Amino acid sequence: MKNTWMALVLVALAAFVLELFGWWWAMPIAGLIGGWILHNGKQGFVFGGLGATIAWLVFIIFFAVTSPVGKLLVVVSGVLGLDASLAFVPALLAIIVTFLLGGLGGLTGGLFAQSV
Amino acid sequence: MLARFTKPILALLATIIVASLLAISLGPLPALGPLLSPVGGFWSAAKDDTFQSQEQLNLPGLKNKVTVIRDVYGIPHIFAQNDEDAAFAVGYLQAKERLAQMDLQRRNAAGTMAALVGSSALQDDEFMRDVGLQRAAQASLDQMKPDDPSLLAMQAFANGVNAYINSIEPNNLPLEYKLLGVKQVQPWTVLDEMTFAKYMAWDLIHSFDPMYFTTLVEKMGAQKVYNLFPVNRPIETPFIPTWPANETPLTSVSPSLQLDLAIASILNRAKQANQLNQPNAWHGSNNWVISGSRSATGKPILASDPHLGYQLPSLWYIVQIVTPTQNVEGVVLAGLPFVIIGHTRNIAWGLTNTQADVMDFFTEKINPNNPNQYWHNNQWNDMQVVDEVIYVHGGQPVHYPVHITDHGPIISKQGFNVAMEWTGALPTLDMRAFYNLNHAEDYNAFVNALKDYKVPPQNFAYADTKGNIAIWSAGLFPIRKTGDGRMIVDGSSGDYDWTGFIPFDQVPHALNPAQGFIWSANDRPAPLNYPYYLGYQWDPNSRGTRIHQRLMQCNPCTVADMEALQYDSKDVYAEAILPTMIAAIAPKDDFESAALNQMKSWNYFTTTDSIAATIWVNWLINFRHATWQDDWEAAGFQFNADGTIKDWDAWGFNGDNEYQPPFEVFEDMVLHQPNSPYFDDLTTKDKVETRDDIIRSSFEKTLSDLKQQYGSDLNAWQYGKNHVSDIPHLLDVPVLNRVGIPIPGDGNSPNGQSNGGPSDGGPSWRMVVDFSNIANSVGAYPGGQSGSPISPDYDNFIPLWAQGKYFPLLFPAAPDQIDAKNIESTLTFGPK
Repeated sequence: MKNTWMALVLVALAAFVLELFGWWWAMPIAGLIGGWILHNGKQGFVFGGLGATIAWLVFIIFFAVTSPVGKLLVVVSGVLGLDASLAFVPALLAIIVTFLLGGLGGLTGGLFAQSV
Repeated sequence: MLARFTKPILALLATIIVASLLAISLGPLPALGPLLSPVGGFWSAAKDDTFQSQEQLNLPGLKNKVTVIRDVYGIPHIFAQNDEDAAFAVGYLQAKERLAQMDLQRRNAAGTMAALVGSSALQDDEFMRDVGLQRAAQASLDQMKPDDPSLLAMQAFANGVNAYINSIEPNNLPLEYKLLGVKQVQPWTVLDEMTFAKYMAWDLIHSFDPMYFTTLVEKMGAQKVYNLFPVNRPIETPFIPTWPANETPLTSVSPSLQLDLAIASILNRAKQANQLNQPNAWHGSNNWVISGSRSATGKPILASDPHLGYQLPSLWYIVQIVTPTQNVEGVVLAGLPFVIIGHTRNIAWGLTNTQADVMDFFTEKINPNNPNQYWHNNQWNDMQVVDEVIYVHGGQPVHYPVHITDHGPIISKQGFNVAMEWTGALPTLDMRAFYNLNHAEDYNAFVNALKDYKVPPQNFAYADTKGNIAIWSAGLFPIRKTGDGRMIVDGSSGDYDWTGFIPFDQVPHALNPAQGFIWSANDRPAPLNYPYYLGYQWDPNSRGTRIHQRLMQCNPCTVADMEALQYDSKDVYAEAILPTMIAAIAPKDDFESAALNQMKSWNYFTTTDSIAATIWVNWLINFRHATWQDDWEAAGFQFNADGTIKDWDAWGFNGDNEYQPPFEVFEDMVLHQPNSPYFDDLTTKDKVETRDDIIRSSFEKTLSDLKQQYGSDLNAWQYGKNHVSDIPHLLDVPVLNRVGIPIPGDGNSPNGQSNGGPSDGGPSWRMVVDFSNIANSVGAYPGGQSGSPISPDYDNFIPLWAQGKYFPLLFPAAPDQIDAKNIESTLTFGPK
């Protein structure tokens, strides 16, 4: 249990720092840390994904509080060819993407840890 | 051993594949990874455009403090201690609000779009490199002395833009860059400004009509084409009524299959590069001035509404600039530092396009032994060959050779080599003209400023506090050895070369005419006996006629009258010919009778609730097509279902230069030649139709079409249902466009739009300057000051503009003269 929390916090922290540089593609690296700590592919996937998502949510909440993100979401959903009523989709997509990237990193880390 | 690592390796591969897929664009969609990323993605674009209520910035490049007060309409009032600091602030503010627009516009002009978006833009860039706007801009720049005040101001403007570019992190670039996946903006240069100024000249004047006329002459013969497209139309209302006679016939060439190839190649290239104008898409511009003798206040009033293609962000950006040497307010073009249409403390000016013929096309005879030589003036001459390097995003730079003759760049090498000569390719100092206009405070200074103005020729309406009113059709108008530039001509003989330009003091102009007012509406500037050939691409007379009518009626005239006239939707062309059309119809049933009654009781105003206006614009289209289409088909043209000629759906100048002869030729036929052979429908072999037969058949077709579109209830045929303005974003992303705005007016009314359907161009800026109190001046344009689609200032002017309303153009002489309730924010710049 202790390891689980530690992995989650570390993944979130690493993801936060990497995202500070705009390195979205590096989210698997953050997830990988979690998987390595947990020594388990499935748990690595879940907690790698959760950790990366938490980090992105911190940023998104910051932007939501400090700027009119709602309007922007309408515009971006329009760019993606979606109706204004589906303006939440870009946010949902961001969460899915970060979860997937962090999760796959966690899965990889967990499986490697199990293998060595 | 290997089996043990199979699963983690597969997981790693899956990770890499997913990350890679997220990094690439899928069709028109941007790459999702970088787009959705919180720091580098779209999220940060929500805050790139905001102004704090009080802000202080210290920036390198400034000499002194600059105070910028943004009023509640988002208009910056810039108070600086010198012109350069003011230009710096204009540059910084424009970049803050319009950076992506400025960047896209400069790339489009210079032919550097491929460096941004990749090889998909390569052919467009090649075409624009042939056109050579940047070469012309560089040549213009080379003519300026380093201490030229206008050059110093342009450099300061560039410094301001770059100060903003340098102040933002790549992750905080505007949304457009995120959508394009761009992380870096190239520094802004004076050359960018000059090139964009050349682009505006190109946009306003380029015409591929000679391709059309050359083809027409091949198919119909020169005499017939000359009669249908006369230089002097049967009805002309020049806005300068008297002048010391000139008639230049179309020059006949011998078109051939090879010339057809060249024409097709040029049109295809221009179309690919989105540089063809849609005929009859929309009409405009207007300006007029009334003297104090006709105004309610005893002081002049100037009104200006230039009509251009709509776009978001708008081409225009309103600004007031106050320094010890100037106090000017009006609209600048995003990317340029000087007010283009506006007023100072004592003078005001407004522009319409002169629509002069300043672009010719020449076939060049190439030396069979040396492809870089052409025959001209009885000898082989070397072409200038310019190695244009086109950078391509994600690819290798492309070396593109541009071949230039004495007539200009070769723009087609298929069939014939065709060179394009136009005044905009010459070195010109138009920016200096605007700099001096921004500092002008009397008529002499105004005229002196115009001496530097060359491209594109514009009709500058003028008024001042001393009570003067004037108009100058300023610019370079070429004088040809022979011919009139309406056809592609043989370049090798030298017979059609340009020999000079109309001297400045002989360009059409007028000062304080006895009638007490002056107008222009892209109509013929000078009377038929004006001694020089200016062109033939005038808009229909109708707008000018209506403006003249209203200015005669409103004596004394008020600012409210001027505002109403800019929004006026009366179609005087309908007033001229509709009674004849109605008289030809004997209704066959109740429905036709009801429709005809609508027409009979119509006041000719194309208002959004008018049913008659809907019938009129469609009837006129059908009547004209029914008159001309069979003659064109008999000459060998093929038509598309929408009434455009196959392969000729777009080529030339806005105005009425669609495939059909001008409105005035048609009006003369309708009113005075009811048995003209052109009314005969050549597809019927046993009958000779007259005007009234065609009126009848086109009326039936119109009602049938409209029933299909709107149903059988006449009350559902309101004009505003389909006659709407569409304002597209530069990237044409639907959510960023503003479409379907009902607007009164048609192509023949002062509030010029399209003739009926959706219109993507029209009054791009409306301004009325009241010389009884210049601070009472008003303006409006279809857009907003901000380029950010999430800013309230992105489109906040549109509702006002659509209703013909205005906002005040506050004109303080000092920061403390602006009422606190009118202030949105204050920004102070200081030197660093």
